[in-house]
Amino acid sequence: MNSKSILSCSLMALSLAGCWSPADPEVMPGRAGQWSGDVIRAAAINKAIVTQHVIFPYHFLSNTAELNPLGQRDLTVLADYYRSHPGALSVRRMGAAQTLYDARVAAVLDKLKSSGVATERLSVADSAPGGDGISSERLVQILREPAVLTGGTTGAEGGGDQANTGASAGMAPSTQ
Amino acid sequence: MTKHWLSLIVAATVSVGLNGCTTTTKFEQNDPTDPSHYGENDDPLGNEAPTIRTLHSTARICAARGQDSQAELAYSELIKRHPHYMPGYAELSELYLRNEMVETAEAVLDAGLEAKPDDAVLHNNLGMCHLFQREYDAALEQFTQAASLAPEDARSRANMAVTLAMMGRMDEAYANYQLVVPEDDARANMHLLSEVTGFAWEEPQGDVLR
Repeated sequence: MNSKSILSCSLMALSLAGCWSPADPEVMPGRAGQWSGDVIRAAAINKAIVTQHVIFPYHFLSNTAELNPLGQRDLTVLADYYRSHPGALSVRRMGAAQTLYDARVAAVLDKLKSSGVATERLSVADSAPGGDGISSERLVQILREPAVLTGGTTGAEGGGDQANTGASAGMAPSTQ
Repeated sequence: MTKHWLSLIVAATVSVGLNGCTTTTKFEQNDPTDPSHYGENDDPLGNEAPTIRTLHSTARICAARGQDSQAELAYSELIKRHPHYMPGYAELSELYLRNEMVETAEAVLDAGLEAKPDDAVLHNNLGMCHLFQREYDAALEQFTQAASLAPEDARSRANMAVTLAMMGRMDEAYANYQLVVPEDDARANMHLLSEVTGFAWEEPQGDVLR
């Protein structure tokens, strides 16, 4: 190694070493803790969003199919997950007119598609958060109906009865 | 020639070294009361005028002692001298809310949001003003905005939950609580809100979310 290389290596090491102490959290106690607290809280909320995997009416501008900033943000979190783990997504209808609900589902799928999610591998339904694939409206309807012993599940016991799910009023067409 | 080469190495290494120091700025920017975070100079008029920190501390001390008129004066002076220092607007609006002067609080927050439209705290406080006035649609809009701007802040989500419950949208309220508090707390909050609002809410059966 010649003298120029040794000199340049020394200067590089010296300049990088100079950056150590100002960035040291010890110099500003509390700040680093605050920052990492924010990161941990955001990660916990993101994890819960993925666990829920539900888009609610509050994610849209009132009475429209346009996602509001929070809807865009939460859907970005879901898109990050669905890019590598496609599965089921719920878009809650909650009393919205069928045309509005269909437009909302389309808006959600558009956003996911533009975020790089393979939407053809994603199923969309109006189901309970993190739930069993049955809409709450349908669940209420089933609970009101007299019990029929057919040997199959009533769907109200969390069995994920696909026939009942498909018959629910808020069911969106699956993209599968 | 060798001298020229050496100067180039020194310049390059110093430049690399300085770039590596930017983490310090991130720590500074994370301090919500740091004037430089809002593009404000803490001492623009030299030693003759009170600094941001002095005015802010004075206002806070007065507010803590219940000297609301003096606190109001100090906060107003703080906002007048440093219009881009957001904690001034947020705390003055809280002072007005505490005194049930909701419309004045709204005016302060509107002025603050004009200076900085993407401030999550101001949006949250404006949502509280609307909530106090039972303007639930407007409150939800502000809390939603705040939650999107500061996703790590649980308060906006919790306020969204309260607002949604007041609107009778119990499932959506519960879903928001589930994002920010443990399941037991989410359910306890929902029972309380159900009792207060009169809207029915039944605990979901089966596995909890997390």
